[in-house]
Parts: sequence; structure tokens; C-alpha cells
Amino acid sequence: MQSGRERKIVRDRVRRGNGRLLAAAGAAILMAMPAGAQAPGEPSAVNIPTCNRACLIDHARDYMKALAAKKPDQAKFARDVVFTENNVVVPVGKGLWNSISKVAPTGMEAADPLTGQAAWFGVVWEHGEPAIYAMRIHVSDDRIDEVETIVHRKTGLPAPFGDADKVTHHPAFNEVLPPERRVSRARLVAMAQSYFNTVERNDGTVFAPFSEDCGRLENGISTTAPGKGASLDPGKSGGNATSIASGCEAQFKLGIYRINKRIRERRFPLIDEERGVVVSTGFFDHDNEVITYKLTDGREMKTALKWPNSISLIEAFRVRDGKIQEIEAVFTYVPHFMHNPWAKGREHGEAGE
Amino acid sequence: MSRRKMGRFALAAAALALMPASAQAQSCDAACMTDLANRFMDAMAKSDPKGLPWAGQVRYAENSSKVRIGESSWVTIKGRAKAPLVVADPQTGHVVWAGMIDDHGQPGFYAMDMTVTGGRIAAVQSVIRRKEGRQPFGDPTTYAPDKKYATAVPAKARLSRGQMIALVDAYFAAQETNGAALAVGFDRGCTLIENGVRMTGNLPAAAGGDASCDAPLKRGLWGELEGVRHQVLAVDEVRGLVAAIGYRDLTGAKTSFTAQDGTSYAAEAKYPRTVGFVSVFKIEGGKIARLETIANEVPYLMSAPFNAPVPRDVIVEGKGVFMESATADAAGNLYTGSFTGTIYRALPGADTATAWIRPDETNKITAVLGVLADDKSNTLWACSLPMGKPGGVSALLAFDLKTGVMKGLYDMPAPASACNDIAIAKDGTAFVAETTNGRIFTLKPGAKAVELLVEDKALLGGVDGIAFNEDGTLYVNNVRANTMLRVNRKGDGSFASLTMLKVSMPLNGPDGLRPIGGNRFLQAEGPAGRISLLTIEGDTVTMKVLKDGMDGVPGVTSIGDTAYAVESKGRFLFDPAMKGKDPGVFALRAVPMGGIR
Repeated sequence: MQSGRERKIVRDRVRRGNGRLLAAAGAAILMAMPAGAQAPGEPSAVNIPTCNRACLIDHARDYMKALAAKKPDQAKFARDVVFTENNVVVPVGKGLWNSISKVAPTGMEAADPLTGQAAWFGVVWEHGEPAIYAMRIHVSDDRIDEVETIVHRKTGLPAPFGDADKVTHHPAFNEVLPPERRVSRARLVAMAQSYFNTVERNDGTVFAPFSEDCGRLENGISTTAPGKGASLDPGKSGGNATSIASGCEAQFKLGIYRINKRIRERRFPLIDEERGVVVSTGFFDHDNEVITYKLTDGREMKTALKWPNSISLIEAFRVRDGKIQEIEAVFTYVPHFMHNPWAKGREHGEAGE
Repeated sequence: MSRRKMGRFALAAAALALMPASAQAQSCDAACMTDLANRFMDAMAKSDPKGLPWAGQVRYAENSSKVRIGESSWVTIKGRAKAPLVVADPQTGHVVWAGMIDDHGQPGFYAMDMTVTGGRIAAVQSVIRRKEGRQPFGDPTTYAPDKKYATAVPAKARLSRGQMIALVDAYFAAQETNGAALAVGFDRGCTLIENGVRMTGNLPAAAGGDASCDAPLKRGLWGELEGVRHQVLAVDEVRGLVAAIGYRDLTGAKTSFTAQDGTSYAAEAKYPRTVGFVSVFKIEGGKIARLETIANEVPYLMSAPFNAPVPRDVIVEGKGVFMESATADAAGNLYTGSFTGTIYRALPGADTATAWIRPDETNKITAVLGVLADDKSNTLWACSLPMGKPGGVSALLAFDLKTGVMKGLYDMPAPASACNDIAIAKDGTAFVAETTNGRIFTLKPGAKAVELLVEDKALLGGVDGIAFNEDGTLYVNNVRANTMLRVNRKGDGSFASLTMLKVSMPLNGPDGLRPIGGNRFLQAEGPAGRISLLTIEGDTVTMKVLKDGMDGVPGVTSIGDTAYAVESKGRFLFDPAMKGKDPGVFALRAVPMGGIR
């Protein structure tokens, strides 16, 4: 968990760029710790949230309304707000703010009062063309000071893309679990980590506990429900794994996702214990050193692309009874090994290279 | 050391690496650089980086994303064009390679910018376009750079290096303004090729005529562009080639745009995006004869991969400072002289410059004009002006660069004078521009007094900025006459003649002049409120404005690739209407000199 001072340093770094400042920022964070701090990076033993879940969700909805209206002045921004779109720092008012024409009436929402963050997953339209979208905001002193967004457009690259008018978010993300079915914040992160560990170099080994009814929505379309016709060529199946196998665990046991060399810069900025939700960000690196590989049942697969690329994602997990029940992800292609300016490095507990 | 301090210290340390290669005695000529580029491509196709001459620290990026040598395309590219387009420039240390590659047998387009330092590969950035994605994408297997690129331009049809760069800069400026600022000529047969496809603006050309280089600019077909960020990398004067790397930013704000003839065109896409590109221009007879580009879409407003963080201004602490000149030493200290007589110093990386040398009975300073750090002799030279003392002579002062202790005072001979600025020759002789009487003085190492090199009231009355280029040629500017001159000297160093130079833009109060390697200089213009990058070739000065709109800029200096403009706000001192009003904060404005933002 970051202190306000630490967040400001990160925002400054995000705004000015990475590189040489990385080490300096780390040093500055240490210097910023007052004597008697309770834990590294925390200036006070007291962290009483001032914006509860409803307050944070309101901020997220207000943000989406302002975005739909193309009116940044209608959003409650802090003066030093930092906005990123597909991992690039963009001035507020530019990027999607320039092209948006509509926002879906509903989205998957999540919030974490302890870290002051909220998320919204859904569909937006740019001049009438749909795009799949996810964002994370951070609220401080009743103002939004961080906006991190991923926008997936139809660019001709093979990736799942749902029917914009029919995207349905699983209601479980919004349902409070009875206390006996919840797990701790740390365990929620561990669940998400176990999922990424399973995806990374997926060879049939499953590290994550999945519920039997586990489903996954990727870019607005189910990639775990039974598919319509098998194809081992992802280029022909639009990148949807349902053409090979259905069900979360079954797909991983087959080793469908072997293409993922590493799941990098994993972050878990938002956790909701009551609902069993953890929202993460990261990159799937596809180096495509090999372009064919075998599933565990012996069938041969082709990679969708023959060249190195990365997929930048915001992914939410819903955990019930200690098992992953539902997954919703928004991701898009970015240049291989691109970095997220919000990522702070392994010294802050981030996993992966 | 604070973050800021680390910043400018690092800039100073990097200064050598960022200087034009000519200043570093580039040990690798064009053939050597071309060989390195081809060997790099071969090594990549074999997934084996061993055996290449790598510099100590190597930077590498693909499509603007920093990656590791041996990863990314090093594991997918299996072959490369055998007849690529290569532009190698030992002066800049950049070699550009463009051609076809294949990933596991799938052909694509590849363009690469390699930085070579001391015969070693120091940095590589590439723009790679693969088949999947949006148009344009032609057939890489049949793509070959036009034959024109291989032929030498007849000597009479060549432009100088500076003029070629200026032409390319003007092309991108015209593109950015959608033809409104068209100051470029095109050869009749000039065609735009992007990823092997004939283009008109952002769109594939429907007919051959549409693909002409001037059509998109004259018709206004770049209407979607928000901006073009570019950097010239390499120049081949013999073949008339200029290679540049950059980004086209497109806001996605509109679904259509209206060209200058009133025709409405659909936008190429409906979302914000940036297109990274490498372009190679063929220039012949002062016109652009061909333009071939390899381009690839990246996230909107993606930044260049090797940019240093944006440098920050240095605030000069004090009221009514009114600086006139600035200089920097090799360690990264900044010095600025002021009309109050105080010389301020900012330690390497410091946020602020504080008073360092103050007027006293020994130095008798009343006002300081030029200051110049001379690391070789451990001297800070300064021009002292007898401000408020009618009839007084000015003086050249020498201070210990480390301690600030005065070690010499050299009066300018009568009559009343204005010692204005200083340049140091290779043998350590100080050359002093004296503005009032149009004189240039010299002070040899160990001499007790200055000697007159030349006095010419007609041409030098108003002489101000003074600087040597790398080969020892002396240049001055004239703040009154708005001119630049070469001071020709005989073999023994004595004065021979003055040559008026032809400057590519009208000057407005040229003042501080500082060399930055080779035949390039920084120049400040006070009334114009701007600083510019100058390239002097023969009698021609090609000028590129780096930053304007400042409040009076009589001086400039640089550390690494950052220029520091002296914003003097002199109107608050000299304009009766402004006297007594608060000029606000005084600062040395940091201006990036290179790279892409």
C-alpha cells in the first residue's frame, strides 16, 4: 500500500518518464519516510479510508460520464492528475477523450477503499466504432489523481473482440460473499498470481485453483464457454481459445497458452475482500521464438503471429471459497516488452521480470 | 546527491557521448559503419550477438520499446535484404539500414538507426512493420529502394549538409501544417513510398499522380495530423541522402477532414494513434527527388525510447539579476554573469544558481557581460563593463575556475569600450569581442595585456558573439547590424580579412555565440527572444530555431544535449516604461537540443 507522498513521487516519475529517475525515485521514497513509520513507505499507522466503496464507484461513474461527454472539466480531477492510455502518459483531454462517442450504460465495477482505487470494465465507442475498455482510478482527497486505461481497438491483429452490444459482465463481481466464503487480501493476490503462474509458459501444469463453473470474459467475449467449431490455428479462430477447449482448467491442462514467455510487471492495485475481487495489471510477452508447439494431448498448435509482441492487460478475478470463479480481462497489443509507467519494480513487491 | 543534481551531473558526464561524432574523432568511416549495420542484421538473423563490437553500455529498442539484445526480433528474424538502403554518416555517428526481413519465413519491413561510437555499436533503434495490421503494407519481397538512392548527385546539384537538413526539417514542418508552410521544392518524379506502397498523405494512393510528393501538401491531405516529431540522423552529401526517424501523431478527433480544394476525405482511422517512421530522402538540385519510408503504428503519443527526462530550468537566486551571458564547464557547473556585477554559479545538477563572485575593490566590477569557462587553463573569463561610468574602459577578467579567486585584470585600450564576449583558441589565446569600437583583441597565455587583432567600425561596430569552430576558424556576429562574419586569419594567426556570411533567416540582435562541436553553434538573439542551432558551411549559415518566445535572450550555453538560454528580461532594465516593475524570477531556460519529445 502506498502513502500519499509515495504516490506523488510515482506520479511525478510517470509524468516525466522512466529511466534514470527510477533509482532516484526509490531513494527519494526512502528519504520521504518519517521516523517512526509503521511499515516501509507508510508514514502513519493510521489509514482510515475517507471514500468508501460507494464513493469510489461514484467517482468511476462520474469519470465515465465526463469521458462520454468529452468534458474533462466535469471529472473531479486533482491538479496533478496523471492519465495513461495503453501505457503512454497522455494529457487529459487527448487520446480517447478526443475520439469517444459513447460509453456502454453498464460496466463491471470494482473498488478498494483501503487503497482509494476504483475500476470500470466495459465497452466504449469511438465515432461509432466499438472498443473494449478498462480503467483504474485513484482517488485522493475526493479528487482523481491517477487514471490508467487500456483501450482495445480493431486494428487487424488477431485478438478476441466481443459483440459490443451484447457484452455481459458476470454479476458475481458485484455480489458480497458471506464471510465464510471469503479469503484475505493476501490470498486474493496469491490467487491472481497463481493464475499468472499457470499462464506463464503454460505446459499443462495448473497452479491455480479453479471452481468447476469458472468462466472468463476476454475483450467482451467468453473464451471458456464451448466454442463453435475447432481450429488449432489461432489466426483463424480470432485468438479465441474456445475453438480448442472449453473451461478454465481444461484449457490450461491442455497447455494452450504455452506462447506466453512471461507474465511481466504484475500489479494488484485493487482488492475487494467482501466480494472476493482482485484487479491486476501486467503484460503477456509473446516472443514467438517457436511458432508451433504441441498440446499435452499431442495436437500441434500454431501461434497467431510469427513475431514478438506483448499484450497489455487489466484483469479482474473473482474468488469464491478459495477458488477462481470468474475472470474478466481487457487487453490489447503493444510493442514487445513495453513497460507500464505505473509499474514501480520488484523492490515494491511486483512480480515478474 | 539530489535527483536534480544527479540529472545535470549525468548530462555533463554524457556530454562527450552526445557531441557530434566528428568532435570525437570517429574511428569508423562510412564503409565501416555500413559493414557494422549489415553485420548487426546478420547477427540478428542468426540469433547470435557474439562477435559484434558492442560499446560498454548498449541501448536497443524495437518499435520504441526498449528490449534486450538477443530477445525480441533476435529470436524471430531469420533473414534480411541483401541489397538494403544504407545511409552512413561518420559526422553524426548514425547509420540507417532499411530493407526487408523475414520472421520465420514471413516477410516484413525493417528500418534501423544505429549509433556508432569509436567503432563500436552504442545504440540501435528500429521501426519494424509486419504484415498483420492496417494499411499500408506492400510486398516486402519485391521491395527495393529506388535506384536513385545508389547514384551520386552531380557536384553542381548538391546542397551542403546544413541545407539538406534544413530542407528535410522544412518538409516535416510543411507536413505538420498540412501544406500551409510549404517551403520545399520537389522534383517532378518525386514519389512517396511507405512500406512499399505509393501513398498520398496517410492514405494509399489511388492513382500514380496522387503519389507525388507535393500532392498531399498542396492539396492538404495531411489533415489528420496533430504533429510530427522528427530527428535527422544521417546525411550523405554525395548521394544526396538524408535519413530521419520520427513519429506522426494523429488525434483521432475527426472522422473526416476537408482538403484545401474543399474536398472532404475520410480519416484513415477513427482512433488516436501514433505512427513511428524512418524516412530516407533523396535530394538533388535543391529539391526532394524521392521519399521512402518504413512506418509502424504504436500507442498514441508513444515517446522515443532513449530520451533523457525533460531538463529543468535553473533559477538564478536574487532580485534584479538581469543576466547577460552564460557558460558551463566540463564538470557541469553553470555560470552566468549579470548587469549587477555578480557572477552566479549553479553546481552540477543544482536547481538554482547562487551568487559566487561579487563586485569588490579588487575586481572593480560594475556589470558583467560575457563569461566563459576555460577548463584547460582553469579559468573563468569575464567581461567587465563600466556601467554608469561614462568614458570608462571595460576589462577582461580572469578568475580561478574552482575557487573564484581573481587572477588577472586586462583593460581594453581606450577609448571607452564594451568588452562583450570571449572565445578561446586551441593554443589558449583568449579572443575578445569589443562592441563599442568594433574591435577584436587577443590575450596570449601568460601575456600582461591584450593586443588588437582587428578594428573595423563599419563591419565590426556592434561585434558581440565570438566563437571558434572545431578547425579553429573564428566567427563573430554583430548585434547592431544583424550580421554574421568569418574572421579570416593568416597562417601566423594575424588578421587577414572579414567575410560576410549568408544566414538562412533574418537575424534580430544576434548575441551570445557558443560552439557545440564540428561546425555547429548555438546562438542567442536578445530582442528576438530565441536561441538557434547554426550550421556554418562555407559562407552559408543554416539556422534552426530551438526555442523562441522568451523574454530577451542575450546568451546561451549548453551541457550535453541541453541548451540553457539566458532569459535576461532586459526590457525591465533598459525600457523606461518598464523600469520599476517586477520582472519576476530570472532563469536559465533549459532547452533540449536533440532527440524527439
